[in-house]
Amino acid sequence: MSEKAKNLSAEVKESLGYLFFKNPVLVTGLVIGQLAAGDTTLQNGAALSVAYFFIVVPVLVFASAFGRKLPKWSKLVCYMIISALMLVPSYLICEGFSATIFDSVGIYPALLAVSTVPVVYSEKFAENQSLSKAFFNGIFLALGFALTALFLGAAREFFGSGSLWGYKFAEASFPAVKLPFWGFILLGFMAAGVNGIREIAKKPEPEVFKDREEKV
Amino acid sequence: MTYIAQFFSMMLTALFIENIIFTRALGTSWMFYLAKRPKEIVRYTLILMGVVTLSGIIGYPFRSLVYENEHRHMLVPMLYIGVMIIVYIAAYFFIKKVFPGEFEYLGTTLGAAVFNCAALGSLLVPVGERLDFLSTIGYGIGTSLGFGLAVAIMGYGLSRLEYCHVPKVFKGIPIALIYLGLLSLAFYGLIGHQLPT
Amino acid sequence: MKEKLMFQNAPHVRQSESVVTMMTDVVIALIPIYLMSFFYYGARSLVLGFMGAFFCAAFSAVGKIILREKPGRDLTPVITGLILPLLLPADVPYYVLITACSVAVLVVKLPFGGTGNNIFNPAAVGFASVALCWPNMVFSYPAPMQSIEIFGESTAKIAQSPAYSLALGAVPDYEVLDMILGSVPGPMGATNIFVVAACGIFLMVRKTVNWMTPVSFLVPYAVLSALFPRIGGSPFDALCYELFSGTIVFGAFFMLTEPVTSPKRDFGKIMAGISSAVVVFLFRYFGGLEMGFANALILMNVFSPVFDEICESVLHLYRHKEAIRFTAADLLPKKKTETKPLVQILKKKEKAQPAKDENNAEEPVPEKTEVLAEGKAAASVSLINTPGEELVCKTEEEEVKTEEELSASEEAEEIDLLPEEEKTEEEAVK
Repeated sequence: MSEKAKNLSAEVKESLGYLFFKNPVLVTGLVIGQLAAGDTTLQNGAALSVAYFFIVVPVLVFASAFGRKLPKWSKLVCYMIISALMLVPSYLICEGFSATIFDSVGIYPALLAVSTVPVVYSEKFAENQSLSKAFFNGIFLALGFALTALFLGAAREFFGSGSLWGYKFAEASFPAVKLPFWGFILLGFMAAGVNGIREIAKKPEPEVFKDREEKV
Repeated sequence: MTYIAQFFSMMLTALFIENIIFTRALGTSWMFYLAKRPKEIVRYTLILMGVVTLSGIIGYPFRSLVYENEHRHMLVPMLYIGVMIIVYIAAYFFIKKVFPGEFEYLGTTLGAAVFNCAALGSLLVPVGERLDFLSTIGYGIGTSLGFGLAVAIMGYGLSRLEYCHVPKVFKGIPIALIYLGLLSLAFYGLIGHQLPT
Repeated sequence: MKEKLMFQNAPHVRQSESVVTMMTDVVIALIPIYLMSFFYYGARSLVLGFMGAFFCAAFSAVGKIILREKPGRDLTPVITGLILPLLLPADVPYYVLITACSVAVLVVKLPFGGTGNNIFNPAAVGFASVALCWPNMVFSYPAPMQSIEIFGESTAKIAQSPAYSLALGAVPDYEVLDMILGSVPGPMGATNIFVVAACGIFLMVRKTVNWMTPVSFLVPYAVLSALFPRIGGSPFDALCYELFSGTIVFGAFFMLTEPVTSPKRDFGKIMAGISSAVVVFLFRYFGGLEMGFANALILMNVFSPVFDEICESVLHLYRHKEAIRFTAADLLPKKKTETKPLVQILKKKEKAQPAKDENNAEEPVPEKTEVLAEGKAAASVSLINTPGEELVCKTEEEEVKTEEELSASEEAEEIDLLPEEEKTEEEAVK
């Protein structure tokens, strides 16, 4: 029993890195497009993180549970069906935030369903992982994504229209910050910030992600 | 004649003004993958074009069923993911039977070549703008050509960045993102100061 | 001591003195333009210039401290800061200028490695970013010949610039002579074509700027605007209005010629100039902004090494042919002494490949060298008449081999990363 608990805690510790030092967006470079173009307000960031959470966790868990038993051609089909179906709960939750959320965030939450983690990561990594590890990986991947998305959305909403979560409290306006090119540049500087903090904290560079950069 | 003009104007729009990478920012991770393999850009651009065109043709009759629904934000992507799944299965067995050498070469990347944000995005955008059939197809072809162009430009730029004395903090993902952002800024000169819908 | 070989972009200037003199030349050339804008708009233009230079230098210093780099004696941020206000109207709010400076230094220059490494022109990117953000402020110009308040809300009269009326398809209601002398509304420093051209010629005479770049940009642009006029009237009018409105002439002399982001070779410069003319023309005709120059320049900056590469490959081919001819004529009498070792080497190779030897054995054998070469490189057989050419062929083979080895080693590296299925495929090929 104690060994199991030790294993679990080790798995959690390992996947905790996805929050910051192995952040899926800023270190690995996944799902950048959706953030750069769609994450213009704090609400959009929240919607994107909810959708990502509901897509990534079930797909990874399913992949580690059944992935090895399925024939090769049908694996990806199953993952895609799951991620498409998972759009339903995430969209229903997002409509709770605001009635007009989908007019502002557009098609970008739907595009998360075909992003790199459900398509490539599930097949290459999650299938060989244990159920609990895949589960924690999924959760912390989604949380790391959510941190980035919320921070970027809040910054862009604040500088773009001087408001947060729709409540206006300043007249500051730098409207271009909502364009995708500023999204790319801000994400680039955030990634550089993560690199700088890693250097100051003297953490080693994540080697798994080094060759994943090559691959994905 | 007007149809042909419409087709080509939509294609050019999708190629330059609404470039899938630089102004809509879709399919970036797939682009980073391809940018390091310049020899394979043409192959995957053709695959993307085939997928987008086929899915556009198959999905066109069904989209009017879904579009009037109040949950259309959710149903339209689900419809098109379903169509892409059909196209993926068909492509998988077609390539396996007809071009076995090609199939071995593609390996596991066929899935990523079919299911990526560039493909789904270029299927969803014409639905939102309610383009007609020919414009939808033209938009898809233009998008995939624009994707190939963007990947070529980015790949060239990334290879050039290796000769710059980039500070250690900015190496890797950060400088690639800043480079992509500045290229995107250049393409925004064509659009002017209105956001693309 | 730094490394001796510098794998970096232009300028490949080793001595620090020459860089400094180049940069001082540009600063000197910019002073008359500032004096002209002082004459048209009052002291605010000078304040803008000082602010631009100060903030660019300050951002550069702060950024270098954050990145823990040595703060060197570097005039390039000052030049960027001096060029930027000249592209903006004289009554632009100060925060627009400061934003442009921060983008130019902190986004374009420092992340790419500072001076000498920037891929994009900093001034162009700074201007393009603020033009997208605050188009109402950046593209509304005060009428000239009025002094603008240095502080507080500007009360200057706003007038329509020629570039805007051209974008609408209307003939600007200004004389061409006025446009050359600069008494038309427009960017602070880019309207007085006469002074700008004079300063540009000063730079050309000092050889800070190669004359090919501006000329190869301005002439095709003039031809294009005369051939495809946007307005009615004679082609000459269209040419003058297109050429003298906006930032075309100023950009051709001061932005297009930036040594870091432009091609190195003369032929490459000409090609880059012509193609930039085409791209700028397309951006101005079909673009959404009335001044597409900066955006077009950013796009062209990406491709500037391409022109160098084309140029170098053409030159390489040309020199290669010359080398073949030269050695062929030169080494003709020394045939016997030179061929022997080559033949021996080729013979050894042939023994290793008996299958090909059998095929070749039936054919007539006029010379040893021909047969021996046929096994390895069929394409070069027709060339082999003289030992000098043989030498060239030999080196070609070696080059091909090394390339193959390189690609093989790359593949070998990649195989480790590939999934198992692709590995088996590679083995099957072997």
